[in-house]
Amino acid sequence: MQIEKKSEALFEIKGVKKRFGRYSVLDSINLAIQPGEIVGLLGPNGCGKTTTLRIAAGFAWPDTGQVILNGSPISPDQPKSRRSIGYLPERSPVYDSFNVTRYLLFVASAHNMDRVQASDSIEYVLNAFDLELVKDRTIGHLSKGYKQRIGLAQALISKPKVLLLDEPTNGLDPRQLIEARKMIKLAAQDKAVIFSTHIVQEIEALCTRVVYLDKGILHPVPLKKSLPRDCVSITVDIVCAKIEVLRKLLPPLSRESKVTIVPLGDEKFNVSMTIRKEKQSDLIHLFSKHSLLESLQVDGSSLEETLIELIGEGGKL
Amino acid sequence: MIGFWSVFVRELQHYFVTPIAYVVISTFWLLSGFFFSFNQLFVSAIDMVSAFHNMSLLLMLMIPLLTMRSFAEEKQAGTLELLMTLPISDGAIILAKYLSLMMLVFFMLLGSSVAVMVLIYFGEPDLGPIVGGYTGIFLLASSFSALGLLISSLSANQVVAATATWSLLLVLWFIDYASALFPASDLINLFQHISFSVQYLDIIRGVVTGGGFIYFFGLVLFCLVSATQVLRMKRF
Repeated sequence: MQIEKKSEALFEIKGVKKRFGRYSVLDSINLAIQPGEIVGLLGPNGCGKTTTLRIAAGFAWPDTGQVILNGSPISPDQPKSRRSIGYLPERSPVYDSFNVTRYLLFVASAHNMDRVQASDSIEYVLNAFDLELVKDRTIGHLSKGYKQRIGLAQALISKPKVLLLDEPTNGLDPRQLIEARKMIKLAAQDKAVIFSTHIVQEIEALCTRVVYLDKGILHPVPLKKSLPRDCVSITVDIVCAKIEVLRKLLPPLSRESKVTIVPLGDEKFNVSMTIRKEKQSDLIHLFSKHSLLESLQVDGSSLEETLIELIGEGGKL
Repeated sequence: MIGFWSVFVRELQHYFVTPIAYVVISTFWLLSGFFFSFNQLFVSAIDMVSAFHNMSLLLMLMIPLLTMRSFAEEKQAGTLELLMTLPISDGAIILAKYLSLMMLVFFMLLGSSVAVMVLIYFGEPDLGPIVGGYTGIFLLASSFSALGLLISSLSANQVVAATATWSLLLVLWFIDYASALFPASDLINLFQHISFSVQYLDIIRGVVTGGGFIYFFGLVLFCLVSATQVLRMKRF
């Protein structure tokens, strides 16, 4: 299935297929990403998210298809092709016996950076990920949250153009979760990011685009429906003699949202707006009181609800 | 070899920031020194034949303890995925790990050479067989290390890797015994040629033959190329 292929994509996964024995994990997936985009890769456990990221990172071969960065293919047998990719595997890949600086120095030298470049980059990531205080501590003695930050720091040390994050917030406590989100947003400013998770809230908090991987096929998930969790999108057909009456009624409810009023003719209007969930009953009450309401449609607002609509029982997928 | 130095330095650092290098090297020095002293004091031999014999056995016991972690530990810790996604070639990873192991073996043998100083101080030993013996022991240790590295690349568990390496080394040590099972066969020559215990008889006397050199070098090459292929297979 083709997912919004754009002509000037920084990073592309083209027609990638992967089988493990008889089991087809990826069935010709395509994905094109622009700089600044954070693409959320959602899917149930075992659906192939990690395999997708491993292929994208140049760790594993696809059976067919290819991964392209800036027009050049990424290949497991061409180590240089992996220089512009930052990858954080599911388990933060840290050497417990090393201190933070020594570990980051190793990753920097593996990227063929000289001493000056390496120390500049290390200083930058230590500051960005708030690791200054622990830079001389042995990694094995640090908390899981710190290890995750160190994992993110190593993924960014070479200033990659593409960042691939495999469930980066797994196992973090709520405070660490908020910090990790901040880090990822900070990291993603000018990069193409693929972010895999099975936690919908993570995607909502971070991503600019969402794809859902299921049975080897990548499905786009419309984000335009993904409103804040406490809001709903309401569309009402109203019978009203004058539009001015409507305009008088609506402002108290719609202060936080733009209201679109479309005249339908025959004293009918279509009104659509996004309002806070707690105001929904007030709105219905208001329209009913003035006997204006002809039909009302409340749109499922959260990504979670959109996904349930797509993959739930009787869903489209 | 893209990324060779970074992995080589990391491996050496790992040995020395953990107690591994200190424990293994000091134990080797202590035991080889003890056996050497025992022979000098009670057998009064002014050569290194017994010392080389004991060193061979000590290396067979200790090298699997070093090699077991090479890949099994990386797999357990999840860092192999990092290594394989950094811009480092598979061959560089294998060679860097192997040469850092050999560096450790070099330190072990270097420390044991204090025994040679003692021999020179108290007598006039024939240095030719001693140099040859050290060369042979280093070759023997090279093949132990390469075999251990290959086994470690195949295993995700350090204990399994060490046990399998010991087993394989023992099989290769005693394989010449199998020639008794095929008395009238050409296999006798093959078994005797690939047996460590047959090769080591020359080594401890300080004789490194062309055939022996080719055998050890070939074995090392075979193991390193195979380990690289094992790593490559993980990408499929």
